[in-house]
Amino acid sequence: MKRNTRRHHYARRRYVERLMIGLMRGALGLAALALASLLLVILVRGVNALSWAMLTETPAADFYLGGGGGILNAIVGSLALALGAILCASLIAVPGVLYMHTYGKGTRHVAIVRLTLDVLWGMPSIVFGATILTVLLWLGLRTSLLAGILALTLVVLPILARTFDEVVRMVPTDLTQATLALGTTRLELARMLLRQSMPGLMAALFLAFERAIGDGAAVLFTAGYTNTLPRSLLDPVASLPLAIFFQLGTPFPAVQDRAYAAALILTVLVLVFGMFGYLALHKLGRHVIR
Amino acid sequence: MATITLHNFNVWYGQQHALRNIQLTLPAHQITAIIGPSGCGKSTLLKSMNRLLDLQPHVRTSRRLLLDDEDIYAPGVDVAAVRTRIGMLAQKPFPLPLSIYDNVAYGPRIHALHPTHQLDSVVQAHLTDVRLWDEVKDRLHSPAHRLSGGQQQRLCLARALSAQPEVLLCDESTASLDPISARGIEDLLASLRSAYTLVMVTHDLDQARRIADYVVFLWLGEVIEHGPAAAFFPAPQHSLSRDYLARKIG
Amino acid sequence: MSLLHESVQRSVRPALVPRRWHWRTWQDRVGHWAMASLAWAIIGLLVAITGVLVLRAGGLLQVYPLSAIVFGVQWQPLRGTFGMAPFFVGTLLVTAVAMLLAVPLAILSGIYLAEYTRPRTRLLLKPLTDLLAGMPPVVYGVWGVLVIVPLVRDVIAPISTGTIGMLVPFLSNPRSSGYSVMAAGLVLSLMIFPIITAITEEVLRAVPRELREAAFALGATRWEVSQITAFRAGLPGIIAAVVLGFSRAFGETLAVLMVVGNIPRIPPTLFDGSYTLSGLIANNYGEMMSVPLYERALMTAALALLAVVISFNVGTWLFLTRRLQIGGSQ
Repeated sequence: MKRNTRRHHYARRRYVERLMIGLMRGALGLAALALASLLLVILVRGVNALSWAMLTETPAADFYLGGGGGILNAIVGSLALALGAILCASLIAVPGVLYMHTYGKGTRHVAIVRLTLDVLWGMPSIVFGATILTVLLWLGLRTSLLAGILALTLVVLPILARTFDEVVRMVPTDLTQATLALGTTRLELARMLLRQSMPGLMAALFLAFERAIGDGAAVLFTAGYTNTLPRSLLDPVASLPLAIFFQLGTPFPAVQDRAYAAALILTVLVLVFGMFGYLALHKLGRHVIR
Repeated sequence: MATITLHNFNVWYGQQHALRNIQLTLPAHQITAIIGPSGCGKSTLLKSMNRLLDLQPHVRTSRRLLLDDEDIYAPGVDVAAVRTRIGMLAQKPFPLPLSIYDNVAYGPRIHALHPTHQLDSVVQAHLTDVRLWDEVKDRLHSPAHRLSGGQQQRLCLARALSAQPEVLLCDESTASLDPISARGIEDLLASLRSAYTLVMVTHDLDQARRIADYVVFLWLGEVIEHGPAAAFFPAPQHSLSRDYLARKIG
Repeated sequence: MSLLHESVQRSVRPALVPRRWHWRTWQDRVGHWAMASLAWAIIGLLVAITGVLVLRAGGLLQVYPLSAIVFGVQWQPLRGTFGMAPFFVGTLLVTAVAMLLAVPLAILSGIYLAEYTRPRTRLLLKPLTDLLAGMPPVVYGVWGVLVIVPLVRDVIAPISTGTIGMLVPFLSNPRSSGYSVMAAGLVLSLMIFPIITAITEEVLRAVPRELREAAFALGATRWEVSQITAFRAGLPGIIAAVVLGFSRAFGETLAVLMVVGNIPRIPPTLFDGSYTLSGLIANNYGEMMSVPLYERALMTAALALLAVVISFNVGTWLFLTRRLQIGGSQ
């Protein structure tokens, strides 16, 4: 009798184990299916409308009615916005994070900075866009590349900072001790930490770039939209996410097709930068101690 | 000279009293071995001498730890200056993420010890002294982490010495190496005593017998016995030291 | 030249208590000051954003009571009524659907990746979450329009109407256009799935091997071990992952805007169109200047998003630091 219940018990545990494995595989399979359908749809629908002109020309006057031209304005605009945002964000994030691991290590201030970064990470980018727009209105300015960069900086800053933070956290304490034991100041320690975490920083930069180039909500109010290439920081500028969004919103199938092509271009850009980030993490850093 | 003196020195980790009333004078230009079972506070004692202890959270110290006649825990003391004058060789070799050359040149550079044009010969001299020069002279600018463990530890020694310390702390610096490399490092350390005050933590009683001039025996955060090695090893006074030397405890 | 065997002539012996600041000390002080102010600037940014929104939204709250804004169902800016209940309800419903779908699946997937796969398999599966996490929201929106909306219209809504919808009217709509709460929830669930999966996996991977081995040594099955690692040791990290997923779903703009239908009323069923707070802001930016108080109303919506995200994050932080004595400075 007793043996029997025990056998039942084992059978039940084995059954639960198999059930959970099935559920887990099912969940991953579902996600894989969704990803496959996403990539496939973007590829199939995008390739149709993709042309050399899409990549190399700015929109003609009747572009949004189905006329000629391309979305070079959006491609260049997006790259400019993302690059600018990464530059601004890293100017704050890199020294800020190094501070968190040297001078500020273990203080309450640093704990609050981390919390702030987590809050900013979760903040909808439309909120950043709306805030920057309000400031623009106060100052009597119009939408511009600069304003778009500022809004995207807010989007990217927490991503860059928290990712880099985790990278620096992975630096072995042995390195900190070995450096300090030579009589270094904390500034020199910060430099050494930066050196050791350089590949991780590069990966974080690419991740941030990927996010900056894909975010449409932050630039919606701030960067504006134009059919020309940006000439100065104070001109409005087009961006890929908005190019997709606006073209999909028109009633013309030909224009909608071009939205799919633009989505394909954006996807490829994101994949390429994601790949760079992966390579940076695994192939860079000749002197880094592993 | 470079004598380290501890007056009634205490360390607490939070509530835990890790070192109790340490009263010691470590003689200059000799090798002092700190021995005792694991967890007795050997490493804590060593790391309190160059204030690496400061890196741990919730650490408190009390009373004085003197380098010659200056308290390194006094207010206003520049911790970087303390660590410049009191160097360290860690348990595991840990090269900086730089080239071999830059590892040795790092200390001289940040402390501006030599004119730039002399740096090459300074690096060569230090690498020669730790008997690494012939093995690395063709790849001075390759990453330091590609060296073997024993080579790395010799590089770390060269790096520590090139910063021109007066005292060198060694935290079981041969424990993680293979026997031959360990013996090499040990011989190097033994040859340093004319120029430096050496303080080493060691688990290896035979090593302490071979090279120590002065011995400190720690037990549960207290100094049980200390004295010249020539007196301590043949005739330990305290029963705990006798048991430890006879390997009955620890 | 050997430096070892003779007493070394030391070129400098830095004073322990420096009488004057050395050049390096100056660098160190300036570095400290500059880096600390940048770290403070990060806090300053959040404070400034909150300040701007409160200032702008405050105007609306002076004219209308808070309850009229939160519970009012009439959104007619041209007539001066700013009831935002439809947007609050729409946002909450969309987020709830997304969380209900994504959280269990994502946690299970994270556990699978961390506890069940071999390094080789993981190398194949890891790009799955990385790729999904990297996709721009607007691409998810395009996918939603092309795949999810037809799927909801032609498959999910009719099936639900014919089965469970018989009992629950909320799940029954025979004439769904597809642009609906359900479609937005589905799109969002795929967006937050990789975030939660990736963090769950990282958290579980950080659980000490000894804990796992100790459980295995008692004869536990993998799932029983996973329960210990995930729901005991890894719980704080998984909670943080869920909060991040929630924030992302709650505030997502373009992807939702493209599939949710944008109808400013409280949706009678899950298969009807709705409207979210973020969509409200995004859709009306062009015309907001002409109507009095309109901009302030939109800023109130932005403030609401901000307030929810801040309180969720701070709440979790307090819970994790106080209750579990982890997190915070970590």
